[in-house]
Amino acid sequence: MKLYLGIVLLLLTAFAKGDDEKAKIILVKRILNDIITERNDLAIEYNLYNIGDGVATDVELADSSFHESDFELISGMTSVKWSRINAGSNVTHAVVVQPLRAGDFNFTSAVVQYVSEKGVDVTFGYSNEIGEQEILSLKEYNRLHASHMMEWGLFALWCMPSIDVPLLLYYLSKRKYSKKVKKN
Amino acid sequence: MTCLNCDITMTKSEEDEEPDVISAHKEAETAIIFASGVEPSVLAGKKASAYIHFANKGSSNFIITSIDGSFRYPQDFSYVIQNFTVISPNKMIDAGYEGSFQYEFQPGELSGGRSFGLVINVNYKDTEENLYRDAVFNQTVQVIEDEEGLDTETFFMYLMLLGMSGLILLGVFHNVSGKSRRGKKRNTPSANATTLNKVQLETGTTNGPVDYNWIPEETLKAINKGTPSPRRSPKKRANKQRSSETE
Amino acid sequence: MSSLKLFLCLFLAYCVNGQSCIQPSVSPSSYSSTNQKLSKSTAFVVEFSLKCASKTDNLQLYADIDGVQFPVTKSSESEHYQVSWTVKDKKTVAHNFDVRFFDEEGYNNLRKVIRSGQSPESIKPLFNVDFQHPGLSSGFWIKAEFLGLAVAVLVLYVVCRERSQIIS
Repeated sequence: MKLYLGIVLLLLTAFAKGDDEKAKIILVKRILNDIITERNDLAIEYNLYNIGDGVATDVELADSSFHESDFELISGMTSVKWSRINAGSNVTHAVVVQPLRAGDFNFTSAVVQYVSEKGVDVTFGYSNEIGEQEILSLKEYNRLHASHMMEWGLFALWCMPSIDVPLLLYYLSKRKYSKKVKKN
Repeated sequence: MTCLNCDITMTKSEEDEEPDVISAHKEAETAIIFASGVEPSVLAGKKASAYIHFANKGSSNFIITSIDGSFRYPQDFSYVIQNFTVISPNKMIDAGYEGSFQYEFQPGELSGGRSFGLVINVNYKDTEENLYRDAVFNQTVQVIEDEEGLDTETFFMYLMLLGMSGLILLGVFHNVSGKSRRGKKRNTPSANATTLNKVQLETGTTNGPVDYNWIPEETLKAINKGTPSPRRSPKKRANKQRSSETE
Repeated sequence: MSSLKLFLCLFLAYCVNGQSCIQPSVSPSSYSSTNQKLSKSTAFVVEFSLKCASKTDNLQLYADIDGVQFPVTKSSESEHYQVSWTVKDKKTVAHNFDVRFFDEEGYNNLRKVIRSGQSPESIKPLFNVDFQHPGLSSGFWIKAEFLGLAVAVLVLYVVCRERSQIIS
């Protein structure tokens, strides 16, 4: 059965004339994080949409903007390929990195290359540029977002004297007074 | 003669000079897709994303300077209702290359349930600083009302109604209980003014017993007899003076 | 005629052998976002390097995760594969994912089964990877400020009670 199917498909592809079906890939690069902090995970999502009529083959995505000196790769690969993306469909790819330093960083484009039509040369495309984003330092991030249990604990400690001393006096006098009342 | 000529040429160039119409370059192809698919689905007050594809099929480089979007009156696309933030990628797309751009726009909250003409323009220029503009999207869209936001509105409305009804009830209750409390007060005898019981109404010394121990005896006798101290009544003072004068 | 036969034979061999992986051995590693303060969306990544007994030139894999199919990407350089997906703006809870990988044939069978409404469990995957997502959390479930407020209210209550006792 498979052999027959294979032969038929082969003949069809040999004689069929694709009527100008070209693929067109949009590559969208997005940062999934709301906050970017040094030494905390940063997830980047790549979406490839094929808005053309034809199948895109040999689709390769490469993002070389995360140099080893600035980012540590946690998960995902920055240079991947798909063998085909059908017309009207989309694929997603994610990469997780960790910034090594705080400060502003200019996130530049990723590059996609694909074959839009059989027999045509490879097409190169750029993704959108994200631009400058601020990478918070760990201290700044902790100041804003960590749970401040330690600070509250210390605050309670410093509040204790001004509350405890009057309370103690009150209880001592109360005990004395209630003793007297009981005596009477 | 020459002036006539140059006059003619001047008028000719004036006639030829059309208003600046920036159009698209024929070697640049653009396409757009929205986060919701090929057709945009915009919610009032929520950010919508559009992804724009720019293919440079020519032989010279293009620089995408800005992308802008706006809502127009559906019947007349030249009337702008809302302008969206312009993004300036300033990106160079080389000959034969393609580029993708993300354009985010947020329709105003009050635009729900109405239809608008959405126009998204891509402005670009070539290496000779010639400007081009391509209307990537130029159709009417229906802005959908955001269902989520309505819930907080109704929630706070109910909260306010509850509060106001509570306030009214409180006022009524206070009025009713106030009247009954005043009625109660007239019947009970008022106690000593110095009592700690704050409920009793202060009436002074008209009704209760008064402690006279501190008044010296003569004045007390005088009061009980009914003759006030000479200092107090001006008439008595005058009499006393006359009696002292005549003496 | 004989050349045609030869060609057909080769084609047959290719059809049978080329697109599948025999005796796969997988070494996976996975990642999922866990810090809600950093990002409201969750990213899931399953990476693995695959070794097959047969030659795999154009192997196209597909992953099925909880009923949704994704194509698997391959590294441009090595035999390392990756499938990734994201869940946006929704707090994801702890979940044990069973990621099933199919080759081209298995994927087509799976799609047929789904379209006909049958259970997708019936198609056996090439191999599968389990991974545990601990859930997107924002730290300790009690906030420090709330705790401080509770303590302050308690102290106030005690003091007020004592005071009313004295006054009465």
